[in-house]
Amino acid sequence: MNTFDYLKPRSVEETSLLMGQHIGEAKILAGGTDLLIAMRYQEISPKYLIDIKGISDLRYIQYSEDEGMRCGSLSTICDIGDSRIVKERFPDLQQATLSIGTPQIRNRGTVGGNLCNASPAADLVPSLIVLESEVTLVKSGKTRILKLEDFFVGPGQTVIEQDEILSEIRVPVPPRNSQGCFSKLGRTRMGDLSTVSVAVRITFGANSKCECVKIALGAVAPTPLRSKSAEDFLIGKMINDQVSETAGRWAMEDCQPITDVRASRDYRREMVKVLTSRAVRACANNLRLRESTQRI
Amino acid sequence: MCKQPKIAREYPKDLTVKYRITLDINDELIEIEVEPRTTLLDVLRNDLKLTGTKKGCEVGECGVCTVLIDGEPINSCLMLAVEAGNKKILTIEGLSLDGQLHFLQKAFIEHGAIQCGFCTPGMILSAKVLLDKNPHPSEEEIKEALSGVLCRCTGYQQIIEAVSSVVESGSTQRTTDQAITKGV
Repeated sequence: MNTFDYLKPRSVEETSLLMGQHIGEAKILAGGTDLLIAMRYQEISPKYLIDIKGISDLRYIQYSEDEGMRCGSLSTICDIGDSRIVKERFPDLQQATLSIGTPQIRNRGTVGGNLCNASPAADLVPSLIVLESEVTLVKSGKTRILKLEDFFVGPGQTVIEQDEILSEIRVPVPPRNSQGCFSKLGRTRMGDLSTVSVAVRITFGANSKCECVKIALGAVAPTPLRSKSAEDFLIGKMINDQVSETAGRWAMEDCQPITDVRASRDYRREMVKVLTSRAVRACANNLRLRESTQRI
Repeated sequence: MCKQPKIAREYPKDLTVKYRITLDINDELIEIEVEPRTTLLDVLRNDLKLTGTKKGCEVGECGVCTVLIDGEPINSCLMLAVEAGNKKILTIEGLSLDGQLHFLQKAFIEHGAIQCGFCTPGMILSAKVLLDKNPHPSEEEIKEALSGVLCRCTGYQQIIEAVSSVVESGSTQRTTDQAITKGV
């Protein structure tokens, strides 16, 4: 890779200052699991690499009943996957972390990096979207908060400004009768990029009818995509095999996959249908399981 | 018209700055000067001649470059040397104690888990991490722990048997003791 100047700021303010001084010439280094590969293949050659791992207060996972979970952007994939908070409150998000790469990658890759790298196949994103997550972007004293689903604008492209850094992801407490499921298809059981990924969150009302539905699809569009057609279809319905099958068909209509080295467009469309219907059924099954457990 | 060659970024000679860093490798502190773009893998192999850690894909997929950083497995091909200061690094060379092979190394030999040997350091270090955290893993947990290292020779069966045999023989207490001695 081409040479560069290595800088290691100690605070968000210092980082923002450096990014501002070297606009267009600097890249942030967190886990480096995507960045260093791009640099090695000279897809990018920043003159300055700003290692933000020296900022001590960006790696944390906290939970409170009113605000939900707050993750610092330097929390590694492993931090999130091993967190008791995530296992208990957001099991679908935990499923997503375990689907990423290998243990080696998960020990370095960060949640901030997964979001800012903005691969259309980023594995944390669909679950975080259906959980209605928000991201905090900061620069030199200014802070803004966005819904995660408004963060992405294209493959590898986000709304983050050149002197901003993503400091925190907040995941609100899901409603009481909410169930979630994450499903990923890859060429291998572990370690592959997603061919297709699907995240579903359903809040159930009286008589197990769907009251609120969020479905996000990964790796089948320029950005992670909400399947509004499948969501609208499911509202007010009780889930059975036919309903989940139809929801899968609606998701298939919404996705916009391409053919690439991992799979063809047609295969991806078919797999969106299969994974979505399975994830919807899984949410209903989890609800039944929880209800029967509570009755005991 | 012939194709013009790509012009490399031109840097003034004095911009190739080197950084002096101190690395804690296998319980030894080593001072070294590196360019920021040098990976930990290249420092281990080229500067320190610790060639047990291998170079494979250089994109974090094959795992043969695995080393332990503060007890966790990391692809050293995706870590810059300048990022590795203030961390306890363990390479395969650091596993044997006073010339004695580690239990995992012995088990790999006994079970035919080594053919070309290229994946072996990564496999053994990954297995060590597992056993340090979970002395009684299931076969599924063993497979998950080793999922970051690819083997083209053995088909994995003997590797899994080697790790399972250490679990069954109760040798994992030695693993933990060694870990305490080494402080990783």
